[in-house]
Amino acid sequence: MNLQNRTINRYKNLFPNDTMRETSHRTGIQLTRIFRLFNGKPMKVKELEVFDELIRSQMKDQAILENIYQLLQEAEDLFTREEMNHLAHSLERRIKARSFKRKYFGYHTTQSA
Amino acid sequence: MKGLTSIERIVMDVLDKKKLIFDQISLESGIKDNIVYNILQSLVMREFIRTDGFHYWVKENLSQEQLQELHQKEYRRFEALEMIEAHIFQEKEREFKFQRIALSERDEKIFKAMLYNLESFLKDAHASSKEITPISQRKIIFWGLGEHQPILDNLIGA
Repeated sequence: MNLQNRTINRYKNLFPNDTMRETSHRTGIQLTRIFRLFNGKPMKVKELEVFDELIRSQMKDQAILENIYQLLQEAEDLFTREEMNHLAHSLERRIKARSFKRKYFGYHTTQSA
Repeated sequence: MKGLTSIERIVMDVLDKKKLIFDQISLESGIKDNIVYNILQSLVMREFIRTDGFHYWVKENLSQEQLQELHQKEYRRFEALEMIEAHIFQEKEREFKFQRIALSERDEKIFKAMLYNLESFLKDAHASSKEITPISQRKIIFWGLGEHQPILDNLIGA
């Protein structure tokens, strides 16, 4: 996944109830432009910065991520290989379960089609 | 990733011995369309299920490796853990008790007999209603009994 998609996904996870209009209002980016960006149109650096700033201010994620890294380092010292595998597998499963929520762009035939 | 996530398992269970269309799978599983779509794609790619572009069904003659992924105890434990954890952290309509109980030898025997009866009751209840109750409307029930010391040893890595 590229940086733009990652940024948009993180934004959507942090503001799950935002409509495109609200996103436009929050970011100061025009509604039609938001629509295009959410549908894969390449972002300008300035737009990426706006989203990035919103993400950072919303969750103070750096602190949380640093905490996670630190805990993982401690776990590496204390846990057995099997326990580390357990931790990794557990995280992997959670990520996979959540990844099914991502928007798809595929085509599906329905009965009425 | 080896094994199935809990929601992939639900879709597999819905398709058990059935050939269903997309809308039926979504309805039966209680999982939203877009998520079901992604799960189905994932299961098709991993060759657990087959599709003709319209119907979906579990692949006949799954390989030994696939059967292992479906049934391996370790993966099933993760699934149970995820479902129980999701239940515990659920805010509404939640029934959950976890207690440390002093049981005499006699009371423990009585309790185990009760668990046996409970299991037997649930088995019969499930058998009589499974055909008319879609997975989305089923209940998640779990029970157990553990010894204090081995659990403690496991927690502290003794």
